[in-house]
Amino acid sequence: MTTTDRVEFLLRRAVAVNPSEDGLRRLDERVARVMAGTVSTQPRARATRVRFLRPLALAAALLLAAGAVGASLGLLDQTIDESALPGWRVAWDRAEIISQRQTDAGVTVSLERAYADVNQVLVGFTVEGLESPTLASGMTESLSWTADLRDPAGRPAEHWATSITASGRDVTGLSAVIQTWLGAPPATAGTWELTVTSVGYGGTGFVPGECTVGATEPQCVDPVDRMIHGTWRFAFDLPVPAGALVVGPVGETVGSATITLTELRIGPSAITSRLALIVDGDVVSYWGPTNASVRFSGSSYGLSNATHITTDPAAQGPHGDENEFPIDTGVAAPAGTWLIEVPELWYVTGDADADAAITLRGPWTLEVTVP
Amino acid sequence: MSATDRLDPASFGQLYETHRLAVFRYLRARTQNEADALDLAAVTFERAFAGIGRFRGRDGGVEAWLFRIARNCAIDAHRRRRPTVELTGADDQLGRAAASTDRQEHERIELLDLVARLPGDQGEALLLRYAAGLTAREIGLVIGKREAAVQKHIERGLATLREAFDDHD
Repeated sequence: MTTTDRVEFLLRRAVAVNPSEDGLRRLDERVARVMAGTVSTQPRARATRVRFLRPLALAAALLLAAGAVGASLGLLDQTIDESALPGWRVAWDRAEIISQRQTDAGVTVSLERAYADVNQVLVGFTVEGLESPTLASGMTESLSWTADLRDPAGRPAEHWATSITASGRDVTGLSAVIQTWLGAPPATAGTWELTVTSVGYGGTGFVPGECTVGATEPQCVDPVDRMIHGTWRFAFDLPVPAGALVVGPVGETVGSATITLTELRIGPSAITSRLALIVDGDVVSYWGPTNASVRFSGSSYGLSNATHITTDPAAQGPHGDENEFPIDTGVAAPAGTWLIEVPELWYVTGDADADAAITLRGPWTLEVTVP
Repeated sequence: MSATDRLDPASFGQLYETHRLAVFRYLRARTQNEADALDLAAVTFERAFAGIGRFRGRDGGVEAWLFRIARNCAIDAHRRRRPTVELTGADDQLGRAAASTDRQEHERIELLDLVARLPGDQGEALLLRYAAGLTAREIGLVIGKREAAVQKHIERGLATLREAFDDHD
């Protein structure tokens, strides 16, 4: 096979990914609901109502306020449903009702709910008072925003979060945002603080993945700051994050390789395990298990995604190269025996790419008990 | 269906059946995990259904129209996630967030990382060509370039990937 053939072959293979049966079923159902008209994708009906509110007399506006709150919650609820993440639904249903509204620069941000467990902090807020420009394609522009979260000790979320995920939904004049900080929040009850510092449609121009070096698109060359800057600050109380935390190490050695469970966090909305690998005689720079799973009470959860924690081999701890494996389904009653099984693993050393990966066969079985 | 000047909402089911896999694959190549790709695919078809009355065949056919929507959805999603790049010191981890534990998947992610780093619209053109299966003309209608320019984008993008693979070898 020539290099030319190989590149095209690899490219075709790389993109020829099929959705899982379950994922495809959810997609089919979601589109079927839209076609059946049970989900409103037409922003115009709500847009009319939101625009209509502004010139109304105060009394009339108050009468309609209850309906507006309902619309906000409905849009947030839709965002949760459409995330296709079972853990988000659990978090949303268990979340504390906050219902705080802050207005600055003519824009009202409403923090409706907040939730914390041992794996994430989730907030849901809405933004009203901005006119979303209609794109050339006829679609409604999506909201951009900047938000800062501080824990009860006053520390920014960067101290414990390993990643942030957000999703949203927009109709004209109203946007709903669900944002989560994934990681291990501090295990204390107390007052959290969320500060939104800018909101807007169209952002400031830089779009990761779109504005590469040398790009000539207008939004990259001459970015326009269409954001509204302000301070929308919310202080709210949350109980101790729910769930169980098991701190290792629990390890097993098979041949030259030792896998160590350094941490297992089991919350109602997610399960996260941290696994580290040491191979005798090698410095592992990156590794992954094959067909690994977490088992509990007759259920099995696949470890299919990983966040590489020790990206610098020099920063590895005593247990070696560490990955964090999130599962977006949680368990509310975690007491019992948990098994993590790794039938096979692969790893690379130094700067080698995946072509040079070394495969080792196990299985490695790690068992922990949650009281 | 490309020659159709207007789309009948009653035919949307057939449109969805015909294009759902290509839309998913295109979005899967641009996102970090299946859930995100499925979510964006659903939003794409929701927006398409909502905007079906605005479709005009003379603007480039169903495929170009649909993938313009899909591309905009993907761009919107990038914008939404902008707060993630503000997480101090975590960029590398975030880049790896969806790194699969499967070896072939790891190779796939590495190749798509290379495609994402191609300059200008080269990467976009390659994804629309190989994931979405569009012609150079249709790609041009999606990204706003002439057919010849798209062809050059594809050739240059492939050439860069070949050089990268030669370096690996």
